[in-house]
Amino acid sequence: MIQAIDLTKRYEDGLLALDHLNINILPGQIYCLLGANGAGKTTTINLFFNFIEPTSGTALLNGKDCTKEPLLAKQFAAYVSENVMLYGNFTARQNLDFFTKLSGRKNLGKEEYYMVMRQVGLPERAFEQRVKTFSKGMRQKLGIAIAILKQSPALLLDEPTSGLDPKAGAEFVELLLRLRGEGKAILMSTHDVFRAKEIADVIGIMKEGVLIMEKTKEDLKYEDLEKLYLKYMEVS
Amino acid sequence: MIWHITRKELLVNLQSLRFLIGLVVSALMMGIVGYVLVEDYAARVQKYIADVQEHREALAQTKVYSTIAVVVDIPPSPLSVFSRGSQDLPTAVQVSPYHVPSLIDEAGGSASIGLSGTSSQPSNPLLRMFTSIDLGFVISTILSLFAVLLVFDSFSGEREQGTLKLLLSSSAGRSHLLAGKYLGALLTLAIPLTVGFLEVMILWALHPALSFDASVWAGVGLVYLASLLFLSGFLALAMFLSLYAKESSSCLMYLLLAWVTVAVVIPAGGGFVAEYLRPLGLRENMLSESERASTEFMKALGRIDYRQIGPWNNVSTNPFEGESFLGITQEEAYNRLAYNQKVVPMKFQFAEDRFRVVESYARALRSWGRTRDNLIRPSLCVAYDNIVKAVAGTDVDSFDDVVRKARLYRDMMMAYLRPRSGTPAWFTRVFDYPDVQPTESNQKYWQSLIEKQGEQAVEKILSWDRVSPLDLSAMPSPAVGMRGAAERVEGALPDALFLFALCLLFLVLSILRVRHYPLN
Repeated sequence: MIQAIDLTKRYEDGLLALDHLNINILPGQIYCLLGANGAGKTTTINLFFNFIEPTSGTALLNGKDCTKEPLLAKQFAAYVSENVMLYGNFTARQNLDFFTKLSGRKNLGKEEYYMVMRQVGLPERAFEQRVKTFSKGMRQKLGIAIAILKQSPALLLDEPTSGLDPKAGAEFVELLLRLRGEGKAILMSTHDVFRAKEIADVIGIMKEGVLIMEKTKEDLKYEDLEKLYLKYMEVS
Repeated sequence: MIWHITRKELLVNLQSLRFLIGLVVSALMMGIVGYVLVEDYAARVQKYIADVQEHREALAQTKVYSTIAVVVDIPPSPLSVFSRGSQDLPTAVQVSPYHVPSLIDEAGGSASIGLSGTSSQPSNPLLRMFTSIDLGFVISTILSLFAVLLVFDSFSGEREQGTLKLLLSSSAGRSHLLAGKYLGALLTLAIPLTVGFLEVMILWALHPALSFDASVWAGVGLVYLASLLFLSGFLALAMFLSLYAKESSSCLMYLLLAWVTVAVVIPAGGGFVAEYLRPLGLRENMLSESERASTEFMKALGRIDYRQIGPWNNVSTNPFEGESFLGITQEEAYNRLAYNQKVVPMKFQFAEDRFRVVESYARALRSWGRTRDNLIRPSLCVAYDNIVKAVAGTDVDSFDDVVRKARLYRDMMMAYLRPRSGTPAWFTRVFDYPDVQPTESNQKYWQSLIEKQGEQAVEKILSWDRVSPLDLSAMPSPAVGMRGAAERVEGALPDALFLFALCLLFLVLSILRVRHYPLN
């Protein structure tokens, strides 16, 4: 569902941000990309949405080339950023309505929006509140609601739990597990080693644009991921 | 897809403080300027009506044919509230036997159409830029500035706010986003524009002295469409430039610079440069040609042998003026008649010759004027101003059209007058009023009157006031009308097409640019 084949990105200033990345995420699988700042995690996600163009290699969503057919490919994936930002003067429902329509879904009623907002754990009072009054956690939940309403088979999240309080973080994880249960392929970049171990089916560690380790949940069953991560960070 | 983005943009704009401020400022400006200009128009209509009446009465009082002067008054255009046009255009054209009307008259001076650079307008072109404040000016400056403030952060704002990636992660492409934002901004701008037009229409409708027909309302509709086209073009330019700046603050700086360039520097500076490109010596050539024609005329007059004509002590050689004599003898009148048979055709010819000299100068100035127009046309504001002037009928071409029609009218008038130029009524009425002739018996009678009633009694007899006016009912009337709606639209078409092409160009460039707009 989410596939990178020799995906490489070198920026104009010469920086090699991503070096021949190969990953393949199947439906119902959560893939966590770990790595320090500048490791290439965000670059990877940016390439899937065609925010930037690859230097070489291919990014595929449901078999569609993200560079050659970006509009078609984007239909199969939803995006949640580290810091979901929305239109402050719009209410939560208005934001949801706008982004949902933009994803091609129409004729959704108020109740359907409310249902999804309940599903992601937003309090009822927030449904018709202006988003500028929302905390970061509430905005992240609304971001997930937008992603859910898109009904795409793939979900790409760029450090979505960063800055969330423990309770909000736990609720978020719960939500992701539910989405995995629905058969969605999920790619999540994160710094959070513990959370990654908790939810990931596959974990990849990136360093300076290179995927230096990829292990399944089973591989890591008897290993200390934190020690492994720190080891890989120190080596080379 | 595009519609959803357009709707969102419109809603975001409507909720913004800058929209509120822009709406209030433009509504105030258009309201105030509209009120002043509607009142000004009403006053000019009153003056026009009074002038027409005055000129009609003056013509009806004509006592001899040679002094006939038909003044063709130009009605003020109701659409002049949108564009007053060239401020120093004459409001009337004079037609007389010894004067062929031209776009440029020596009497009015070539300055009258602001082509020669010697006009009475301020010599500083920046000041000239601001001398004519009308609704077109308000739209091309205030609303274009508003357009800048609306779109300067269209993309950079979304990028800084963090919503750009979320937007582009949907099924919307960059071009969709651009189109949606563009249309949203255009719809937003259409609101203050519509409010301004409604204000003016209400002011018109409520004015007790003004009433308008369907063609005027159609003209208002055309000006509205032209304004939308102008704002579309300006938005496209602003959108295009905004895609070259990553930061909103620097983008605002670039766009303000662009606004000053397009709205002020090019229109004024282009004209300033054109002043220097103006062919030197044109006016001097015209004046010397005119002088030469005068000299030739005077020489020709000098070649007339007065001895064959008979005694005549009151020879008028002013080629521009009609002649009228009352206190002359029959013999003098006959002599004058004989003189006129030789001189009047020469004066007619001189009027034609002088017209050709002046018209040749006008053609050269028109050519230079076109160069100047082309120099400053890249400014969207200038193209827009040209369109509104053409639709309103306040441009130089519209005035030229009136002058041309006045010349055609003069041809008809001359067909009526030429046969009469060989009659005594061309210059005198002594045959209708024998008691004004200084004959021996009349002079004795006048002497006796002076002794009894004083000199005023004789002055009364010799006064033109007691002479009945000529019957001019057979003379053609000056039915000189302004350009029709179709002609005005035709006049506006080149600039409208140019504006449309510019708009399209900036949109295409924006689409090409937005593909590479950095999201980080």
